[in-house]
Amino acid sequence: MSNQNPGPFGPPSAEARAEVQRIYGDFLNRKLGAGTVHVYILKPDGSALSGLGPVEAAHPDVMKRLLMDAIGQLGTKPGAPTVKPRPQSVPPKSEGGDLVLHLVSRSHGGGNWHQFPSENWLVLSRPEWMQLFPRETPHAGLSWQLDPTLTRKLLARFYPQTEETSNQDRNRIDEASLRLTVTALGAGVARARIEGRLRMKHAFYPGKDSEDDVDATLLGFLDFDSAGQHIQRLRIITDRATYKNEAFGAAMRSVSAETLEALGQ
Amino acid sequence: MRSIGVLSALTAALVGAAAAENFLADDKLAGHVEARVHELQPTRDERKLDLVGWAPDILAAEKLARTGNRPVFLFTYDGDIGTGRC
Repeated sequence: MSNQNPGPFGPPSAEARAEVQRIYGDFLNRKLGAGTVHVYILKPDGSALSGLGPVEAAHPDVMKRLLMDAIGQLGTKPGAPTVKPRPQSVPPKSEGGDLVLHLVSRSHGGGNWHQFPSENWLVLSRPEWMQLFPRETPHAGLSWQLDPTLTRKLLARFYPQTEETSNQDRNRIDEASLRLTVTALGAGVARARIEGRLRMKHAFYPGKDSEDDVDATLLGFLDFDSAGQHIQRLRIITDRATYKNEAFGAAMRSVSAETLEALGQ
Repeated sequence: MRSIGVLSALTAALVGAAAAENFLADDKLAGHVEARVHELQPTRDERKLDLVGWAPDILAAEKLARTGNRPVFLFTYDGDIGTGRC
């Protein structure tokens, strides 16, 4: 349970928050250790059994020992999961005319923060994604700059794994640009090369005024019908990118209606 | 005659579909970008958290624990585990 974000099931109730506080107090009283970032093992009656801090919990052997000890103490019998597993990262609700985009970003450095990539979803309404198209009939070499507001929206999460306790855009953009140039034409379809630059400040921790900077060049392409009514593929990747002088990679892709349907959206 | 008619209708439908949605083949740019997109996607190992069935909240978890005589695994954290930004 996140201490701030509602998560995939929505915000926890006041009763649920109070229960977590009770558990926190129970562990402290029994001197079993507690924290805002912590693993708690409860007995079936809800009382405290054992726990681990985040540093220890990140070691698979230590975590396995904790769980096996709990099973041993409680005499837990093997069985099917009591809750059906489901993906943690799922696309948000969208309308038929929306463009759904998925972003993966990962630092190329090591450490606990970088063991899993971050994933964000972005939904553009039809009036928004229509701004991706040129204002005239596409022809080879036609080039146009993307609207700054849309550019900022597209690039808002182009940074590696950091702590985000809200959906607030915490960026201070110094430079954000995306330029499209038609490089290929087919029967009723066109491809535009995307080139861009992003320089922005994004503090690793919210509420801390640290000068953590993203510096990235961007590359991608947009496949669309020449009449400007439909996007086939939108892809944007970091060509070269650093955050706090450490390399990272990010990739944004449009998600087809078929894929969204397969994901249950 | 009937089969020829069906074939003609099918052919017309396929031509219509092709006209409605043509695609450009991947060139050097598209190939390079798509490869990088693929390379950065979460791996099967990185998706193992999705194999865990998480209860919607602590109250639901405790109810399941009581009825199934199971322990509860509660993980509290700062940030958003769904985005990996935590």
